[in-house]
Parts: sequence; structure tokens; C-alpha cells
Amino acid sequence: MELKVIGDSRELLHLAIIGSLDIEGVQAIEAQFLGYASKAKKPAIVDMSGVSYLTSVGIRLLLNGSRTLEAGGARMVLYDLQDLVKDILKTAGLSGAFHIAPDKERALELIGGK
Amino acid sequence: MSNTLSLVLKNNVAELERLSGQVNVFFEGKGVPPHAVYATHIALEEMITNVIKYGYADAGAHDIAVTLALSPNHLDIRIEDDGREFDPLSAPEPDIDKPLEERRIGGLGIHLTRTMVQDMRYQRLNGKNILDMRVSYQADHAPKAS
Repeated sequence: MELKVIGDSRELLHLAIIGSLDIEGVQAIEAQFLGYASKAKKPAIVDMSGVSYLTSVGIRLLLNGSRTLEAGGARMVLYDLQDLVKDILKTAGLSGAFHIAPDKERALELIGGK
Repeated sequence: MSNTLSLVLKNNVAELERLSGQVNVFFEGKGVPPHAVYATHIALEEMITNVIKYGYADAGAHDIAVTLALSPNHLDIRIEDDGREFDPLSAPEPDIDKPLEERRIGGLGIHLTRTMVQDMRYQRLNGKNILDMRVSYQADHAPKAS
């Protein structure tokens, strides 16, 4: 499991998560991911195309990150989710708990609140 | 190529990676649709994580027995442990509208499992929790969306 910083400008934090968001994956990136979320104070987009597997601990991590950012007045958008990952969120009834976009361009639009 | 997999894990989250690897090898070349493979991984990880994290009153080592049995259109999963008596079927559904911090510990994992498997049965026998689950699929076709 890997957390990559694609970009970190004054206006936007751009992250990518790669691998399985299971217990071990979450343990590998949790501190870093939540650290970024708590310090960012700006919108964030997260490339999810590399996430092949998502369990309840992964869902909790994403929710915690999203809420941490929102507490600082910013929004987090997940984009380019794999079909199985989208299915899991839908099954959990949590699709509406996240801002989700099909691609980076649409994610940037959502960040702008359009 | 065997259609049965049996293994014994220790009550340690590090064992989940070993389990995942063995399950992947088990599924190789068997033509099980991706959605059923995913459901199997989810069910095993969520249920065994709950056993490991919440099932024991002591800090000692315990065995968790896992069996997979593959049929042409379904996979049967059995998880057997000697932890505290716990019937996941009796756990109330999480209120998914509540903030995450207000939800019961483990509720989301059980909820995910319940929605991804087609049958789930629990029994307490000789001091052990025995959880049986079935993942159904259409051989050579993707399972129908529910």
C-alpha cells in the first residue's frame, strides 16, 4: 500500500492511494494520510484508480480523512474508483458519504463546488 | 487442483495476509467470477478481523480454523474459533446515516459481509463459534447485481 503526493500547492492537495485498503494497507498509510488531512486546510483530490480492494477499515480511513478536511473547511473528492470499490461503497450505503468523481477533471470541478 | 482449502490461523492480524495469499492461490484457474472472489475476501477479512480484535478475553494465542469448499455455482466458507460466544447475525444493522464515530465497533464490517454473501448461519457448538457463509455465482458469468 502506498500513499503518493502528486501535488501540494497552495490551492490544492493531490494524493494517490495505491494498493489494498485492508487492515495492513490502512496501517501502512493511516498516520500519513490523516496527517495530510489535518494539516491541509485546502481542498484535496484523491486518485483512487490504484485501489483494488476496500474493506471496512479502509472505508473508515477515507471517512476520517474526509471529515478531518471538512472540519478545516475544505472538501475531499475521491476520483476514478474501480468498479468493485464503487460496489463496496454502494453496498455499505456510503456512496453518498463521499464526494466521488469519475476522473480528475470532474474532481477538480467538484472541489470548486460546481 | 483441489476444490477445498483448509487452514488454521493464529489470532493475529498479520495472519490475514497469509490467508489472503492462500485464498488467491486457491481461486487460480477455477473460473470464479471476480465479484465472488472479492466477496469471499471481504467476508473472510471482516469476520476474522472481528474475531481477532474482539473475540478473546485473554492475550493468549488462539486458533481460527478456516475452510473453503468450492462447488460449480457457489463457495461455502466456514470460520471456527474458540472465542467469546458471538452471533454476528444478531448484531443490529448499523445506522449508516449516523456519523462514523457513533457507530458500533465492527458493525460496518458485519454489514458489508451480510450484504455480499448469499447465506450466513451461526452456531455455538462445544465452546466454539461456527460461522458458515455461502457466496453464490453463475459459473462463467458475472453474478447478477442484487
